[in-house]
Amino acid sequence: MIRAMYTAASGMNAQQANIDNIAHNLANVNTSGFKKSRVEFEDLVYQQVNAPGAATNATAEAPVGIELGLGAKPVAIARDFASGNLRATNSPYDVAIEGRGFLQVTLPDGQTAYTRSGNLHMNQEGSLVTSEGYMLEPSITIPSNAVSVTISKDGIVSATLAGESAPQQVGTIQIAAFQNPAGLHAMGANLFTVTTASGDAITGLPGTDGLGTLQQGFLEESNVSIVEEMVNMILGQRAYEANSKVIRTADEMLSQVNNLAR
Amino acid sequence: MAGGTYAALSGLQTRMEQLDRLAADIANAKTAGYKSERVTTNAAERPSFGKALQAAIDVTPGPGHLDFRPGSMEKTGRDLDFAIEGKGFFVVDTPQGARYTRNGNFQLAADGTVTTADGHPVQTANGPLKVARGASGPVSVSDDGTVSVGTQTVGKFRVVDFGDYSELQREELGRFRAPASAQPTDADVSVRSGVLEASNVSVVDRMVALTEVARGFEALQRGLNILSTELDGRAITELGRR
Repeated sequence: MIRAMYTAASGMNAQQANIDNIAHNLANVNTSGFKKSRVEFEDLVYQQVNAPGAATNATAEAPVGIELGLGAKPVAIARDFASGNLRATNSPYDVAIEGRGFLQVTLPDGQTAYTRSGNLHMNQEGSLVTSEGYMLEPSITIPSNAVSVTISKDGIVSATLAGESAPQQVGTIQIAAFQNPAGLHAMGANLFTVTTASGDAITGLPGTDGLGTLQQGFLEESNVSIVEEMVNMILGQRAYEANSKVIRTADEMLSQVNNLAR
Repeated sequence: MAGGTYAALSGLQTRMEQLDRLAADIANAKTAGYKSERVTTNAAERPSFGKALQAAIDVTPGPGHLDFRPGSMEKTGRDLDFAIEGKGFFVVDTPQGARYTRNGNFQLAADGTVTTADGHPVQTANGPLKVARGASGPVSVSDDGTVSVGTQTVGKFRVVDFGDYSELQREELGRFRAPASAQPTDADVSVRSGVLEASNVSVVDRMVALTEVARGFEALQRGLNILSTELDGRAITELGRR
């Protein structure tokens, strides 16, 4: 009975993690390039009360044992890298990736991070940087006298300079893909870093090796579906409630045990 | 006199155990591929207690039967979520030997092996299922369990079934182990991707059972009180007056 209380508590903890995760998804419904995640649960180990095959009397054996499950726990929070919708922004420095690739950025400590959020800006040196000010990798610098900038589907960045008619190439954007993107480490700010679970980055030009192509003037919206999250929230809340009723029942039964001796 | 007390006690203990099982089922109401258990009770023979007890109804928890009815199909849209339609199990290779599961929530290891959430490789007819490195495009699965990445076929899930489910034992993560005597046969079923089989626990049904357990417990506790205070207690006080 005390066991039932702990079992139900594990169920409540699991649903708490579920609701926390739904809250995170909903909070980021308007974050460009955000990828929703989902909590997966597992049933916990089983405690053997009677082993299967134990003798029930001199000649018979129990065909099945009595094994009590001890509850549930979250086993993984799997990120879903399905594409979000592309939204036209008409800003020349907004780049969306159609396909599975990531933009590569250099962190201040020299490490490479990966992002699907392509709202780029120019810093004071004219380099293309993310909203946090991290440089693209390889870095691309736009000349100060550029009038317009175009980014082609295959990553070639060209600028038309003042007083010239033909645009000139100023760099190429390379993108990276992973064997198992769900294994990337999310470091916040829409950035991911490589782990042993994700596998090494496969880098290349957009449009090669199925990495995906670039779309200038578009941003990728988050792939969170509000309806789906709301439904999951209701289900999670009900499951939480059911577990709390088990605790209350166990409590009532224990108080009745206490009333046996008066 | 004492017989009734012991019978009521065994009833109380059985209900405590039932509560533990209900708690486990309710805690797993949202665990993919979880199978709940139907529990029986037996009238117990306790020759060691003598004739006084045999007159009373004495119950003990009987063997449980796993309920293998399928759970509902829940669309997740994730390409590494798989569900089996109809009977059968995916085969997972663990250090303890082959294990069987209907929980198709799989992950990809860094070397491209398809594994369970805790990292054990999922089997095809010839070894673990691997998705070629650098392969592009979504993972899809045809009805017979053949997995493709984009347009490239990478393997076919091994799906097996047992003639008799009664010997399967539950393990964590919705896995089952089978005794050496039970040999699985290859099953001909259809597999779908982007869906998971939800837990087959009916919360409504479990809530009703929970109420029954609580009320039955209460009735037994009152019975025990009556036995001890009204009958035994009165016998002691009334007979003691002579």
